[in-house]
Amino acid sequence: VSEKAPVIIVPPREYTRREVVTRVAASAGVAAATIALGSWLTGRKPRVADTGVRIRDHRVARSPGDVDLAIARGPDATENVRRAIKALGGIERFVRPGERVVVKPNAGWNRLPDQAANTSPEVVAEIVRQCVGAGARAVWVTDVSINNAERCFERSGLAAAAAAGGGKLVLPDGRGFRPVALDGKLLQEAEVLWPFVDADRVINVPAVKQHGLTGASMAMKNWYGVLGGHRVRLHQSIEQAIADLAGMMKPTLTVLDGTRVLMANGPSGGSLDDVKRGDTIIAGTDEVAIDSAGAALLGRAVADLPFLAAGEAAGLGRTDYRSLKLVEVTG
Amino acid sequence: VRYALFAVLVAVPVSLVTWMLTRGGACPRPEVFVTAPKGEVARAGSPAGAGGASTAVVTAAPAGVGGDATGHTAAPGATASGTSVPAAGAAPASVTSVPAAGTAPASVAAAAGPAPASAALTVAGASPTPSPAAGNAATTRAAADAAPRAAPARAAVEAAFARPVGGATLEGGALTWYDSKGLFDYIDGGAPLYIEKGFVRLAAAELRSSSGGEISADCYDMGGTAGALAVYASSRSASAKPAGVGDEGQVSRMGLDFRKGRWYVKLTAFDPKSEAALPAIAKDIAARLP
Repeated sequence: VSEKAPVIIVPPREYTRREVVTRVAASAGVAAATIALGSWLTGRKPRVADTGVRIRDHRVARSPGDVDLAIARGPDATENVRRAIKALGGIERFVRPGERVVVKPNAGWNRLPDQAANTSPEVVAEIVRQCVGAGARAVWVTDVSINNAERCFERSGLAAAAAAGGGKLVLPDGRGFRPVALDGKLLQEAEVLWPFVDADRVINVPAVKQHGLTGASMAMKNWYGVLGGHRVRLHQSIEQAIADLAGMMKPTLTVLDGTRVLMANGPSGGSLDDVKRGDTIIAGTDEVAIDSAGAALLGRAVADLPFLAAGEAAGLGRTDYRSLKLVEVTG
Repeated sequence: VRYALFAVLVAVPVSLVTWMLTRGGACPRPEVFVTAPKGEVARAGSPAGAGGASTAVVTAAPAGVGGDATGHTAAPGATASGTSVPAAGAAPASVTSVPAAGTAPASVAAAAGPAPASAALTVAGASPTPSPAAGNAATTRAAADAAPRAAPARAAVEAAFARPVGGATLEGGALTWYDSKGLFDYIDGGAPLYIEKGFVRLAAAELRSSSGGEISADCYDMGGTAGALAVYASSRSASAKPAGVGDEGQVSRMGLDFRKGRWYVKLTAFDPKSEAALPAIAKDIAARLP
C-alpha cells in the first residue's frame, strides 16, 4: 500500500491594499534616501577647514618691558633698520639659532627701487643679514609677485639683496602652494606659498604705498603676496579680506619700509614724480599699530583707511599706536 | 525593522563607497596662476629637505599656447593674417579673432584649455564675480570683449608694434593681452579704476630701446574717449610737463602717459637712456593706434 505524501497547497497570500501601499512607499523611501545620501556624499568636497591645516602663530612671547613699536628716522635706510630692531630688543628677541625664517618683502612689481613700488633692497638685505647672524638655519626671501617674479626680484634689487644678506631667494610657481584654513569672516581657505607654512619665523617687510582701492598698502595688505590664485576675488570686500589675511598670518616681526614712499598711482606707480623720500622705518609686533603709524607717511589718518578698523575689530592690534610702548629714534 | 536594517547594511555602505571613489575628483587642486608677460613661467620647487634649498628655473611656455581662460593671453611669435582662431573651450572674454588685415602681419593668440577648475580662495557667501565696484563693470566689459567692435582694435595694435616704435623693438615679438578679469593679475588694486571707466582690454608691451634699455608700454583700450580721458585725468601729475603727443599727454621722470581717442597709453622707463627715448616711442605709438 503506497501512501502518498500529503500535498499541502499554500494559497497565495492576500495582501491588503494598505499593505501594498505601505511596502511600496517604504521601499521607495529607502531607495530615495540611499540615492540622496550617496548624492550628498559624492558632491561634498573635503574642506580644508575640516582638515585643520592652519598657519602657525609665529609671534614670540612678550616679556614685561618689551618695546612694541620702534620708529627710526634718518637718511640711511640700513641704519634705520638697525636702530629700529635694536630698540625692539635686537634680532635675538625674534630669531633663535637653528630656526628657519621667511622674509616677506613687497616684490610685486617690475620696478626699480627708486620707483618705490617694492620694498627697498637695502632694508631687506639688512634684515636677512641680521637673521643669518642670529644663527638662522635658513633665511628664505620670497613674495608672490604680480608681474613676472624673476623680473620683479631682479629689477627691484631684491634678488641681489637676498644674496648679499646670505639668504635664499624663492621664486614662486604653481607647485609650491598649500591649502590652509582661515578663520576669517570673508575668507575660509587659501593657497599659501610653502615657506609661509614651513617657516619657524616670519618677518613681514612691506613698503608704504598709495593704493587705488584701499588708500594704502602697508603691512596688512602685504599678505596678499603669500597667496596663489587669481587676485580678482581678493578685491571683493577688500577691507575685510585684508583683515582676514592679517588674521591668518601672525608674523614674528614686521618692518615697514618708509624709505621711499609711493604717494600716487599705486600700487604699481612708475613715475618718479609720484615718489617722495620718507626716510622712516617702523618696526614692531602689532601690524595694525604699524600701519596706523605708517598712514602718516602718506598723509592719511587712521579713519581714511577702513581696513585698520577692520583689523582692530578682529582683535589684531591697536590703531592707537601711541598707547603701546613706543620708542622713536632719529639719526 | 527590516527596512531600517536594509538601510544600515546596504544604503550606507554603498553611499560611502561611492563617496570614497569619487572624492578625489570632487576637489581638484586649484590652478595657480603665475603672470608670465613674456610667455615664460618662473618655477621653484618645494623644499627638498628641511634646509629648504630653492631653485629657480625659467621655462618657456609651450609653443602655440597663448594663454588661459583667465583673461590673460600671450600671443605666440608666429604671425598670420586673415585668420580667425577661436578659443578652445574658453570663456568669451578670451576669444581672439583676427580679421583679414591686408599685408599687415597680425599675431594670433589662441586661448587654450578649459577654464581653471576653481580659484585658490574660498570666499564665504561670495559669487565668482567681483565686488559691485569692480565686478559689475568686469562682467559688462567681459561681454564687451566678445563684441565684434573690439577685434579690429586689437589687430591694429598688434600691427602697430610689429615694427619698431621710436627705435624700440618689441621684446619676444609679442604683446600680452589682458581683459577685465586678467587686469587684476597685472595691476592688482589699480584695476578697478580702469574697469569703472569702461576698460575693454590692455595690450602690454616690453620694449627694448636702441640704447639697450627696457621700457614697458601699456596700451589700455578704454572703449571710448570719455574713458580714456577719465583715466588720464586721474593720473595727471602737478609736476609733470606736457608731452605734446596724442590728444593730451604728460611727461614725468621715468614716465610718459597720454591719451588718444579710446586709448590711454602709459610708458615707463627703467634707465635714463630709455627715459630719453620715451617721447619718440610715444609719438610712434600715437600715430599708429587706430
